Amino acid sequence: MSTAIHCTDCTSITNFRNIGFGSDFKGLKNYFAEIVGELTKAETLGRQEQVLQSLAEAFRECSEEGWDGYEALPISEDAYLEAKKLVMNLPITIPMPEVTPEPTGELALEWSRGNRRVFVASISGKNQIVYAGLFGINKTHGTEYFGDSLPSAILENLRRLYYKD
Amino acid sequence: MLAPVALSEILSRFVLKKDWYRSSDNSVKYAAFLPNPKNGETSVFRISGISDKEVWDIGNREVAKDPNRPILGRADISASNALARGLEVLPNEPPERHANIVGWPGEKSKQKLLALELAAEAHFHRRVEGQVLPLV
Repeated sequence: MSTAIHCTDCTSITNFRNIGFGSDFKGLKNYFAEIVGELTKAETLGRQEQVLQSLAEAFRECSEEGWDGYEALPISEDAYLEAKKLVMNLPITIPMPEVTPEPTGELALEWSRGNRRVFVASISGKNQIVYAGLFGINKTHGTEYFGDSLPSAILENLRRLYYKD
Repeated sequence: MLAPVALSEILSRFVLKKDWYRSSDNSVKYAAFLPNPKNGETSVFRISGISDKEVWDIGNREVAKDPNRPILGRADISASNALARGLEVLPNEPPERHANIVGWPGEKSKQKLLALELAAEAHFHRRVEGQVLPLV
């Protein structure tokens, strides 16, 4: 017997959560992958593909110490894989970010709407997201655990950047 | 003894990574100002009173030591911007005109926030194939 469970807190339509089992679940998962494959031809999801490519490029280019001309640490594979997971979990209503490698060996995703309206979330591969943001004269920073889904604090700050303030 | 850094001095941070600036509006990203993970300092050069050509010469001579990693631009910021946020700028020679931005908080999210604020105040100058384009 197979069971598929309704997802109540999915933040992205491209992320199929592994919360079922059995042959029916496997079939459903494959069917879902086909549908997403078609959807990626659309502009928003096409942009997601570009960001994933940028992540891969940053990982490749920053794999050796000193990649910034100073003494930056190499980007770890764990950070790369976790950053991919974050991108796959982004809601379709949020614009895709730019990729920014950090000298500490983390990979950051950056959303910018011009001077002093910017939010960054960086990934180290240790199941946590370190973030900071400027919203005009207001600012925020913090750290969140990153498990299966995007932390609500990250989503709230992205909504604040694009739909509030 | 090295002269202390004055509030009005301009500091240059050389950028060698294309992901550290936005070509769309020629602005620098926060990551360019994050401290070196090995010593907790951000290396800069004091450029007040010298010509633009001399500034680029410093970058080529002191920072772009690997010919495969040329200088792509530089972010200029007033020392007062760092000091106003609780950071310090300490002269550190040699090389000539070198200084470090120090006093970064230990918490990474706070470091990012300060770096975002410095980047928001900085003026980015892009360098294209030997030609200097002062933008912004």
